[in-house]
Amino acid sequence: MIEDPISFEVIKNALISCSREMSQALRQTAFSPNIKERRDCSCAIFDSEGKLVAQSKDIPVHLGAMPMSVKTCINKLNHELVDGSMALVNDPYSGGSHLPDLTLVAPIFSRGERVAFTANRAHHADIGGESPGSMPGLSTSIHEEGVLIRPRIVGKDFLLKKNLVKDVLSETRTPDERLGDLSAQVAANNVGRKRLAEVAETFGWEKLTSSFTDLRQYSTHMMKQAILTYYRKSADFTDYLDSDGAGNWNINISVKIAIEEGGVQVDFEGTSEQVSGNVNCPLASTLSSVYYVFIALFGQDIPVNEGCWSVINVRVPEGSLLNPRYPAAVSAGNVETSQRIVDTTLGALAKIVPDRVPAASQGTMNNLTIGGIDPRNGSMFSFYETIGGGAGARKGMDGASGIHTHMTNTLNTPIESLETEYPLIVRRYSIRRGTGGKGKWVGGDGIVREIEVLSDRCTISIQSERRMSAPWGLGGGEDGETGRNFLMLDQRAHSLEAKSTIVVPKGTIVKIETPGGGGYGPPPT
Amino acid sequence: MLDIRIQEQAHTSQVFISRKFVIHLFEMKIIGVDVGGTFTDIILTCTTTGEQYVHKVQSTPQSQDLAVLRGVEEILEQHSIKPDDIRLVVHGTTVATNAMLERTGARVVLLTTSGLEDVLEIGRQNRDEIYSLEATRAKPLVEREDRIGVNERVSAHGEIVTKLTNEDVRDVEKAVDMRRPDSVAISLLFSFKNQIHEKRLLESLRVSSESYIVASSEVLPEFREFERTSTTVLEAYLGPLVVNYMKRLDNAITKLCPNGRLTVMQSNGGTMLASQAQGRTIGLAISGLAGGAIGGWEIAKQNDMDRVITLDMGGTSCDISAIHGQIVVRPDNEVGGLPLRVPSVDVKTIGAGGGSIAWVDDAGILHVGPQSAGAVPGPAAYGTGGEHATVTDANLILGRLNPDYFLGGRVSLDVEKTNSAIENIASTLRMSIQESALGIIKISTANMVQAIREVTVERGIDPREMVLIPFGGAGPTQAVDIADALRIDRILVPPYPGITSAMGLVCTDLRVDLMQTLLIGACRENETRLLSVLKQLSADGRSKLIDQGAASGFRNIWKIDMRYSGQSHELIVDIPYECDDLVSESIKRFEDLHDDSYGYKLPERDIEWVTARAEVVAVSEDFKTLRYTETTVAEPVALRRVLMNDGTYQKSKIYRRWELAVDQIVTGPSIIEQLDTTTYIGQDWSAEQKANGALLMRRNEH
Repeated sequence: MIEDPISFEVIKNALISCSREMSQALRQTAFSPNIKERRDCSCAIFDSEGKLVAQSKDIPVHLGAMPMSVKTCINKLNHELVDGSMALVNDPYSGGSHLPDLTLVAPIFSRGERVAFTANRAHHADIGGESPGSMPGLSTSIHEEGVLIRPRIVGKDFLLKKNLVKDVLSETRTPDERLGDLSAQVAANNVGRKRLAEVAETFGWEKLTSSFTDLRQYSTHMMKQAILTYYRKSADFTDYLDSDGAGNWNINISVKIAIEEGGVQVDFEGTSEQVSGNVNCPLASTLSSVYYVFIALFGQDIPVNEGCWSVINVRVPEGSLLNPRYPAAVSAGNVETSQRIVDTTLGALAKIVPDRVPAASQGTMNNLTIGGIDPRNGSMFSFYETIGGGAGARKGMDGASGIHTHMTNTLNTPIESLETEYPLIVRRYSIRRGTGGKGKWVGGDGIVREIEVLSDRCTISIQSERRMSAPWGLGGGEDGETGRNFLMLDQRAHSLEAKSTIVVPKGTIVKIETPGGGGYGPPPT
Repeated sequence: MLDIRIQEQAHTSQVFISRKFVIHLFEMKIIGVDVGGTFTDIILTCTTTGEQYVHKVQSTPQSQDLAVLRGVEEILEQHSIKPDDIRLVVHGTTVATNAMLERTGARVVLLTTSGLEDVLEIGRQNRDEIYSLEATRAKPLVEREDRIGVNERVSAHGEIVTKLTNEDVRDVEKAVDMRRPDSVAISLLFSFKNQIHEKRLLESLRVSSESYIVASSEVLPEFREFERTSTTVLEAYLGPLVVNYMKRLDNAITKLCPNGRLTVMQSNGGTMLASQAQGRTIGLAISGLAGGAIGGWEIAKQNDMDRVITLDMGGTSCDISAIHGQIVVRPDNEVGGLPLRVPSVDVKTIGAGGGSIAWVDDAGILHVGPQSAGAVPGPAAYGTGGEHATVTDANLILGRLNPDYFLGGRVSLDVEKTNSAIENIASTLRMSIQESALGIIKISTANMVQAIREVTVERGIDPREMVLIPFGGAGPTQAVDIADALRIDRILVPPYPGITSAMGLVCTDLRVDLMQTLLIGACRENETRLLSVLKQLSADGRSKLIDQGAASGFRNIWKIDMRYSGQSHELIVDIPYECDDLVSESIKRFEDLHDDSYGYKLPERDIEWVTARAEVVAVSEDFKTLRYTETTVAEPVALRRVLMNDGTYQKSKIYRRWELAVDQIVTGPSIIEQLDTTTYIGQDWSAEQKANGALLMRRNEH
């Protein structure tokens, strides 16, 4: 099947290390803590058609979605993508995820021919819109969430051209930081281009590009074999989002999975129509979530590239929650709905592959944004974080506590960094004991995080889930406990909705309790 | 004239090589003892004559000191050296590393700022593997019920927000007393800014408790609470075990060699007195790895090479270090998933050795390692029960290894067992045995090349400019393949590749690294403060070295971790010692370094001094270069068919290493055999025996 297995292995490793080097360059040169401390960014290499060839191991929700952004740039800009150019995009309706995630795409040429692309995606701490941090709790249209960037050329001669992003910068609250982070994204693509050229020097571009195809075929083959173990099995499942922040509750996601000769059919027919709030999930993020599940379940040792999902056929009705039309609000779709898509898909697969699917994990990222004026220097600040929770238990293994699961893997900001940089104090950061679902194997516990604001008129935005419907247990295991959000002022606690934006006085403590994971198997009596 | 004697003893795998030179009276003799997974290597050297003796004994993993003592006793006895003549015994040990990997350290109680007891458990809240449905991370070393919150708080500026009262202190004493731990770690928020609360607890607990007690402001006065806490906990975790080990060994060595001091290799590449390990045991976390890098670097220096890659390839793992002008000491490390913020010699370890196992996956793709056959059951060729084909087996098929002269004939290799192990791989791959063996070597090479790339190319260093220094038992056998893949054209094989790590121990400097986090603006008004911190750190460092017996010849180094205000990662900037204009000098150097590393400067941004660092080094006496004087040109001892990378067989000349004359040039394909390794000289290579004992290989020019 593979003609030269040895070169194959060597090239595969070289391509992965190339993506990893890009990622490292991006983190080291970036300016915002969200990229440098929390590592909210990802890098990858694509063939001349925009198909994924190799990627860094960063944030799952970025990685599965980037190929659509690259293909969109090729379709829209084609001839403008000349040697040395770079294209920027964040459009959630054609390959983007949510507005803060900016994707920068760069073509690679050999002897006048476009042979490959590198691309990277980074979550910028502010991209304009109505609330600081551009992660509003209650938006109902994309225009409230920030600047929408359709594919456009922003770089020439391997450098960022400031005048081509002037309009974007003028919309954000922190233009200097944006420029710094965008330069870092340029640097990552340049590192990728140089490194690929070195690999090509050894093997020749012809062999390298043909190995792109080999790699894809290899992954397709491996993935197909793994999935076809469950040939002719099928199952369905429905799970629910709590709310969209705009008056819609219990929003359903429904899936039917069938394993057939050519691969697996994943059909979201019957899922809710798109909603007015911001939990609509762009198609690229939807696909990314489904791909994540299949790679994690069937392909842990298979190199991740487009070949993995050529055997996964996903059908998502247009205009639905998971494939919304412009100008639907989407800011929580990528971070919250993506987690529920994983839960739903795993829920169905648990009926097909019962022993290997874990109970539901926390099913949210608990996005918290705090912005305002820093009294220490009078300038604007915007702090964004996501908070870990309980992982679901699986057969033979308890769930981990206080950890990021499924579609994200960002780090926390160290408390000593956070308190030095922002007018905030962390009062409590602890495991929320006993919140994992009981079972033969218990779910992981959530986290309790309390942050006090030291500045007046701070805007707090929360996008969270699993505040009503609990992360489910499996095989007789109990559900994990739901999460809760509070404001505490003058010793009194006030409950907050799962999606909130609120302005608070100095001395207010925002308290987030994240959900526990589901248990597995009947608990001992 | 070099005198090599090889002795084999029936019941143990003892081997020693001795080198005899004219012995002067009154010289200082030093012993280096390096503990490895299989063997404990001992080298005895004289600082004035360059005389060296080498010895190997089987390691005693349950109690490493047994093999250490036995080795020292035997080497003295074998060469009739008076124990009184030994002035220094330098030890590289894996006691701390193993305790971390195997989780056999002390029971620790952790004191934290209240509300933050779980920081140790949550870590950075990320998981190890992204495409995994089981999110996992290393378990914390302290159980929840042994983590005690203390009612106190210090602000980001070091002001006391909640004061620690006498009553609080008494409560803590009681809580600790109830738990009866082996040790106590104290790590409070912002203690690097203001250590008054930590100090208070430390002092009262030292009175009330018998435990081993450490505070984060002493262990690691740096910001980022998780990394500081984790490091402090590790100190508490390792302390009792390591301190006891050092005491026991120190007493035994003193009894054996009354004029000798026992020092131990630290992760940072310097040594410290074994008797002073108290409170500094995390400095020994990778004690066993640093020696190899230093030994390889010593060989490089003797040959006037300043850009080298050391490759220490043993049976199960391969330790790689890229050295560019000087040994790199990095500020952090990780062992068994536990982050460790202590300066460590930059060594990358991967699971690739002579024992790495070859296997084929479902799609017919060949892989090598990371699983290893280890010493038991060993490669199939050992005939000791191993059934899997390993890298050693592949090398035997290729003809690079001599079945009758492996480890100088100590182990005889079973060609039939190797054939059948490789045949299993070959039939799955539908390839010939020869093609499969070549494939195994290519993939094993690719794994090491990948690791070398990570420490070179990924850091912007071009390996093609560097010299490869392969050692360990398996390194020199595959060095040309690695060099070819990286387009390196020079390889330097040390005189005794098998004991290069032990040699590293005896040419090590005494060294102390101290640091203090400041997190202040880089401006005139803060300059006095920075200067006094740097001076204090240097003075503290010198007094620590004087305690260890160093008298003079101190080298002082200052460094500052700096960043643009708003950034959260720092660049480490070298500053001239006793610099009188810290502001301009540090800012200029920082901006140049930033431009160099990242391609831009931000002239209008404020700059911060994050951490001040002082290093003090008492430079050891120069390690004496070996003098090798053989003048009779060696003839090949045999000819052997060796399979080349292009699939053809070539008649290759076989030499014995210590028969080669100085300046003799051996052209490839050839093989040079010696007691502790086999060096393969590829088709396009030639090798030159040098007067200092090293073997320099060059790729032929076309």
